[in-house]
Amino acid sequence: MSRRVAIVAYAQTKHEPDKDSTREFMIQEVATGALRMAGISKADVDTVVNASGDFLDGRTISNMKTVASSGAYLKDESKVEMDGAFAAFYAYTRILTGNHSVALVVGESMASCYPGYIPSILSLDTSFDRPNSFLHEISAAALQATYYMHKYGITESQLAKVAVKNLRNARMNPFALRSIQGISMSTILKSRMLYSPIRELCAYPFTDGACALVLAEESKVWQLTDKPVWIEGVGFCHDSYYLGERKLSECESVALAAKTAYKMAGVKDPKRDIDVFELHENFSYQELMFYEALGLCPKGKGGETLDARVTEVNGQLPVNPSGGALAANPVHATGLIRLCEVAMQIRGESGKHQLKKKVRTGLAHGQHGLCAQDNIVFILRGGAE
Amino acid sequence: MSSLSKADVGEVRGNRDAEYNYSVGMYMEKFFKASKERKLLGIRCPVCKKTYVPPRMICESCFAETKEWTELQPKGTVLTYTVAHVNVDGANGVLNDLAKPEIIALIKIAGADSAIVHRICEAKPDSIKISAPVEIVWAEETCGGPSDIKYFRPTK
Repeated sequence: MSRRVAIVAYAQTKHEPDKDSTREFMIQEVATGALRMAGISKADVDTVVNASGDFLDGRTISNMKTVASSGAYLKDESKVEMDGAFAAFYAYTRILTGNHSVALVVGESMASCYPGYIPSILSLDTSFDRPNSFLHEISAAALQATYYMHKYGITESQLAKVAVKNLRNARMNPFALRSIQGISMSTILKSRMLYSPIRELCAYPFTDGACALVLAEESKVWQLTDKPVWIEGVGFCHDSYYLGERKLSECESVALAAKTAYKMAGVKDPKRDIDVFELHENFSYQELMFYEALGLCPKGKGGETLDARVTEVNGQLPVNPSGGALAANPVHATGLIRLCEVAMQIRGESGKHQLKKKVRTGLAHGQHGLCAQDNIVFILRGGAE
Repeated sequence: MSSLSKADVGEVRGNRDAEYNYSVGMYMEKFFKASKERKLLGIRCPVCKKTYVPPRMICESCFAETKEWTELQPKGTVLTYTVAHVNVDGANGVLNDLAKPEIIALIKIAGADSAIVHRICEAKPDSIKISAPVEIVWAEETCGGPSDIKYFRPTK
């Protein structure tokens, strides 16, 4: 690869259930925040990529209205209707073409404005699953969780333990939506049962929030930061649309995305070569399946890996020191926040949730669709070379 | 940033009722014509011989057009399930508590390689198990649509 690209600046909002704000203000807050960190203005940005959802924004081609707030007026701008990490990938490849040097990537959504789980029902096939309406993101996740737990003997308390870990981490993250004092297994296990085995605190919270990154090409990087975070590897993969046609016991598309990203970044053993993992787990069981898919443990050993405490904040393989998507999930921004959080860890700017160990290489994951149908994995690395 | 509370301004409604006329497509048309006659149709991939129900036009692993229609028995086994304690409110998308929990399942149809998402009735939620045999209960009056399969129940 002749050109190299780095994350040079970032910003995220405080994630909240009902922000006293608008989409435009949220976008402007993170866009200007990221540009300010890079010490540049709108004029220095070559391309803008937004990530948002028409069904979540309630408008078709919703980025038409957010041109002003994302600093894209009379600029090269386009949108990804997927997780924001895909928007980062798109911006990355635009820079690799050689036609652009600096890109601004923004992801946002406002759950306080959209009708809860209805957009996920509207994503279903219109001739059978949608009219039947048994399926949506939580019932789908519950079907997969039951299958996975049955196949590998994963327990409900292991699902709860993921939530305890992530929500404890979230207490140290000032941007997190969920901040629950004295969180314990009983807090999780007493939370409302939604679709068995998924309880309210084992599912993501509806979130208002946004995130922005500035990406730059190598020759520009040093003018914008002395702490670049290089994109060293990336891969993504799509699983089947239909749940009944998927291999439900594993996240094959995460594994394939990771394989591509590892190969590109020269990661031979993720357990040895990666210092921090920020995963987009909409539901606690998914984090265990992702351990397996990312090669942190063999198939079916996600629960044991959790029990061994290696994925805790001071463990050997820290997963979601930010609290992950269980702490805040502004859809279309969540994967971008994972990239932002890894960049913060590598730059030593995570504040109270900064890992004690030296972080040089990190993995950021984004997903979209029922039961993580679509997945993207990035490998980021700090350092001057 | 404004600190207006919601009560300070009138309600502004910008909603439009919009009807979309989706075609069910040639394959689902055939499936629904059969379900009207209380028959379950699947379709087989000519390459890998996987049978899909509901029928898919393309076998995605082979990237081949499916062609061979096959009538399936209206029964199968529970691949996985969830007990729903809530459902999604059709108006605002929030979760409302159900008076009685319901069973939602992925049901692997006998002789097929895919599974149907449906509900299981005539069963207590704590009695349902993975691999349990279940059968289709057809609607009293079938109309050639998704409601023809009323629900599944444990095989008697």
